[in-house]
Amino acid sequence: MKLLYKTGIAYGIFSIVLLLTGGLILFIILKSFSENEMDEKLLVNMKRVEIFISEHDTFSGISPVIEVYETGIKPDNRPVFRDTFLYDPVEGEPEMFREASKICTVNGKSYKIIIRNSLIESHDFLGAIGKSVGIVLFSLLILLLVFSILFSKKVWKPFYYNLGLLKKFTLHDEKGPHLIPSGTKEFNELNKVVNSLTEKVIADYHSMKAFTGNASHEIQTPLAIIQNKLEVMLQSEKTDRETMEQLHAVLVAAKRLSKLNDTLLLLARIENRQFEKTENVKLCTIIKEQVDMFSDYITQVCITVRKECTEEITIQTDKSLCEIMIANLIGNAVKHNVINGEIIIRSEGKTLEISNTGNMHIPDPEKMFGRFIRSESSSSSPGLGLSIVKTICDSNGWVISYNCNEKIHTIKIIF
Amino acid sequence: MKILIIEDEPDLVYSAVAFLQHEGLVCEYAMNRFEGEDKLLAYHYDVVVLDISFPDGNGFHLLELIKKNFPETGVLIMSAKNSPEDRTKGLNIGADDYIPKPVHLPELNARVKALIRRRKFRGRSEVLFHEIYIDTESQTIRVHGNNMDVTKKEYDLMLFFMSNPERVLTRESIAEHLWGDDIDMASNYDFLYTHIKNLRKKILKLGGNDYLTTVYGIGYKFSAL
Repeated sequence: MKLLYKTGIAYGIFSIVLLLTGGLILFIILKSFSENEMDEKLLVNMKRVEIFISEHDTFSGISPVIEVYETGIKPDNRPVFRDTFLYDPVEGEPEMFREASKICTVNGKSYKIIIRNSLIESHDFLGAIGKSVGIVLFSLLILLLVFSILFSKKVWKPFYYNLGLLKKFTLHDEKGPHLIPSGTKEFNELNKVVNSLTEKVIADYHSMKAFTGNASHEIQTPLAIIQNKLEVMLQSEKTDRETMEQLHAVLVAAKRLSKLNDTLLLLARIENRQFEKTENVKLCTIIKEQVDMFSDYITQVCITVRKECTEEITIQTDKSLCEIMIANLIGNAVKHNVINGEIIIRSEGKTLEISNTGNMHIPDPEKMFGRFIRSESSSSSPGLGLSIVKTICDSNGWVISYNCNEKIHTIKIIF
Repeated sequence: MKILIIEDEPDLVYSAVAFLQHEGLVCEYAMNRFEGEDKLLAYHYDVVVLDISFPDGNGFHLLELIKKNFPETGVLIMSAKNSPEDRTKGLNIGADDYIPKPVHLPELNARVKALIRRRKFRGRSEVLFHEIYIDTESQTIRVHGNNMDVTKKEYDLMLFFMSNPERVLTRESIAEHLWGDDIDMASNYDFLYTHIKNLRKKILKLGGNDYLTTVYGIGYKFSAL
């Protein structure tokens, strides 16, 4: 939950407990104070009665508040306090009384003096105190909560603003987000740390991008030299037949290496999200272009291509990547096909399906999109075609799947 | 015809210069941007072959310089194969053509010649090899003056051969020239053989000589008998 509510609730509960406890203690103190006062008052009244009896030698009493009896019990002059529940004729109903009783000697006679006071007022008094304390504490609580929420909001505002900026940050930004300072020391420290972190990340990303480009340049160069020199040697009349064939084989291998290098670097660049420029791409048009490009090879292997593109699919993506993907898919369908086989391309809604007839049994369909996985019939290819397709799909958020049904292999992409 | 190659890797430069000079072209080279600029300011070149895949982007700077100051000079850019945006940027700035690196020398040769034809002769140009005559403007081939009926691929094939006479051209480089990079996944080149067979038949039918010799296992050679 939000920090604001978390602290609010924590404060709230703590305050309630604190204030309740405080209120309770206050109440108890007041109550005991009030009781002591009452007992003091009873004792004073008892003294007055004693004096009256000693002066007038009798006391009629007002029941139930003052009662005087002559008694034979041995006096001990010790007052005994207790609470009793008696009928009060004035109120007309039984009430609680506080009673102080003493057995004492006055003018030689033993009297039992009982002084009582009604507890109604004191109860009412305590009730009033309790209520007012309760109201005060409760208001205090509410105001505290409101104040703390408002204050927190103000203090946290720069934090949330910076948080929003950070959320929008991507590695493609030239610089890190411009975080606003606040009066809070911790937030400013956080800003500093975040700034240096993002700067470092951006620098690393740019150097990695540069590295990818440099690596390609560096690896291609010796390969280019190899290929060039070999071509020159092939032209020379001094080269005999056998040597020429060897040179040719070397040249072919060098070409393979070069293609492998290019493909691996392409994969790295896609994964580094260096193809973020998107535009509206018409899929069926690209498919048609690619099929045309392969047409000579396709006719040679006597494969028929059936295009069932009912409607144009338009997607938002990088155009060259899309062309690479389609080329690889079609090339794959051609390569793993049989003589007089078929390729069926179906597009519908947001789904594309490319199926081809083929003999191969794929032992492990999940691994098919892995790197360097190839079938026995295409041992000269590096086995990266489908992993390029998968990487492109992954980076665009498209779902790709493979299915084999009675020697017809189908690859399905959902955009 | 004067060509300038601007490329920082010495071995590549020497091979390319040797190849082009063999064609009878005057070819010079510069190994860095400053040398390139100096040479451009000192001499006139018909075609500049420029490597724009320098990671620091200096290649583009040079390209802009050439287009601004020497508009009649044709520019052929060499770009890394896996950087399509370099190619697009280069073409947008005004390069005439591009060739992907690593560069096939026969391919480079053919493109340089095509560029020269376009630039020097404003498109109308001819390539002649004994009785075979190609008019690149109308894209027609004539044998002994008679028009030869060819498909687009056959025309490209013929032009590629006639631009690289007396050279062994590997199957791979021919296939790449006609169909682009992805064709390397073909496990055999029978389809290429079919095209060449058709071409031979057509030439022979019009009374021409078959200058196409098969270099078995490797490719073909277009040479005088």
